[in-house]
Amino acid sequence: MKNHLFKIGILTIACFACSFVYSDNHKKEYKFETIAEGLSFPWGIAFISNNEILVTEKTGKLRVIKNGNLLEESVSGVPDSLFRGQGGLEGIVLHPNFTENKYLYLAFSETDPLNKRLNTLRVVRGKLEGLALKEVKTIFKANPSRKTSNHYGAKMVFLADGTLLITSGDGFSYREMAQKLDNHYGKVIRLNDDGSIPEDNPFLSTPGAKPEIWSYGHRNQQGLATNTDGSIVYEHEHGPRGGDELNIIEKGKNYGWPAITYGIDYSGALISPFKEKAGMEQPIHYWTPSIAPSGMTFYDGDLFAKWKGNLFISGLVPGDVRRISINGNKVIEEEILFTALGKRIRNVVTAPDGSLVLATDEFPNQLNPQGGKLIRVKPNK
Amino acid sequence: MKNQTKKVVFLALSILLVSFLVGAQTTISNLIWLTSIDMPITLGVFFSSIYHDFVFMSLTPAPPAPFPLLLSIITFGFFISFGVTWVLLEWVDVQKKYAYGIAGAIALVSIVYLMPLIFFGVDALAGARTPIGKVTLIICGYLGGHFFGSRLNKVEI
Repeated sequence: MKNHLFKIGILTIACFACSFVYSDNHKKEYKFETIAEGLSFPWGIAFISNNEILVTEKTGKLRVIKNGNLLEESVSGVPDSLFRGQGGLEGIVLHPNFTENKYLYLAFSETDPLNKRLNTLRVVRGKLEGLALKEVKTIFKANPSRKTSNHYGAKMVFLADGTLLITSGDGFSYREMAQKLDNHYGKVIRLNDDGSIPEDNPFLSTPGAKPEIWSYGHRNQQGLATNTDGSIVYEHEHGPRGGDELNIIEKGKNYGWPAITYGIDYSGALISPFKEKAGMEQPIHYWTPSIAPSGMTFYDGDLFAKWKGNLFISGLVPGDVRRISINGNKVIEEEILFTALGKRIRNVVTAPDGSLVLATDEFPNQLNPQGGKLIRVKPNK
Repeated sequence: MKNQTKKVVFLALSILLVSFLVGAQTTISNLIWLTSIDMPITLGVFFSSIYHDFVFMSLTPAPPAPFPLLLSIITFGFFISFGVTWVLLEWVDVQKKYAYGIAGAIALVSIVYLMPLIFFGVDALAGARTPIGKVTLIICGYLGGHFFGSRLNKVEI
């Protein structure tokens, strides 16, 4: 008996030692560096260069971080946005030829000018000249407007062919509209860089369909990224209670919300008893319980060689980043990272130097509205 | 004392009844829409959905809240509206089943119309998103109050 207890004791100590050594080694693989603090709900991040970063603050400002300093002055000429609920100044993306044309794109919620009780998602293109945004042009406005201030989507990415994808969320209370093609709720939108409609969009000849639609049946898509050659589009969307999804977006496809879902409503009610149906796409991965996925990057940098080709997805609820290893259309590994920060992670992007940059905020935000930070993750060499 | 206990039991039953009806209204409105897009709603799916929604809306905590959300909201609403009714009935001569019925309806009106003001325009009860859904929920509140009032009459006779 004594002999058994001794063996069990040794085994337990060995297990603890192994887990300690493992986690310690893992921690030493990378380090955190604060790039900027005092940000007000940082949301979207775009790199002009490794030392010049644009950050949208949900409260309405476009901030610039230059050589490690957060400039006091924000970019002028940015349209007014509606900071309420889940809305505000959110998505940002640079034109693929930004160095030549200086175009950037902003996605934000705004009050409907025709009915102040309503609001909508709007996307503009503007030319960045110094600290001013000029030649601002609306390229997309989600239609119809909504009463709610939730589920805007508001992420953007350029495809290899130069067209722009925009996520447009379901507005929370309008979820059934995600299955119809006559509106922009719960859709992925595809436009040319000037806002015109590409000639090969899938529903151009469908009667009553909005011609901007690229895919439909989405909820609140806050992650959008392509692989290195742009041939695969990854998207993630918030589920309700459970059922956060990671999808591969393809032309004209229906992703099922809310007819099929792995989540239930916040009230506890079933949204749908069905999880699959012919003609509706399955996620390549889903999370129940929810992690509240808030941003995504496809890692093709060189600093973390072993992470090349992985997806990184930030999660608001657990306050971590999920490293997703993918083989084709299959998720083969999920690793939880950066929990040591102890913060809600609003976004994760890859910097030009191959480091990962995280945007964090506080919850509830109202207690510390300037609590947002940008944090760089680098190898610990 | 025995009558007081009975009143508490009837109050609890009326809250459960309304909670069940509100859950069922949500279920049915969801299933009607799913049928409209050709999802295969069978009798089995119907009854299992009704059961699921009653259990998960009325008897199971709704994270992050550590308590059943719907049941708690209805309990809160009924306590206020029934309390006011109890006071008013000292002066107003109305049959209790009607007085409490109206009180139950008013509780649901408050829940249905106040919740979107708190949650940035969002109807937390999916079944309350349409005018007909709102009316149905208010009728559910009336039925719960009516049940409570009519039981009270019997206890006191």
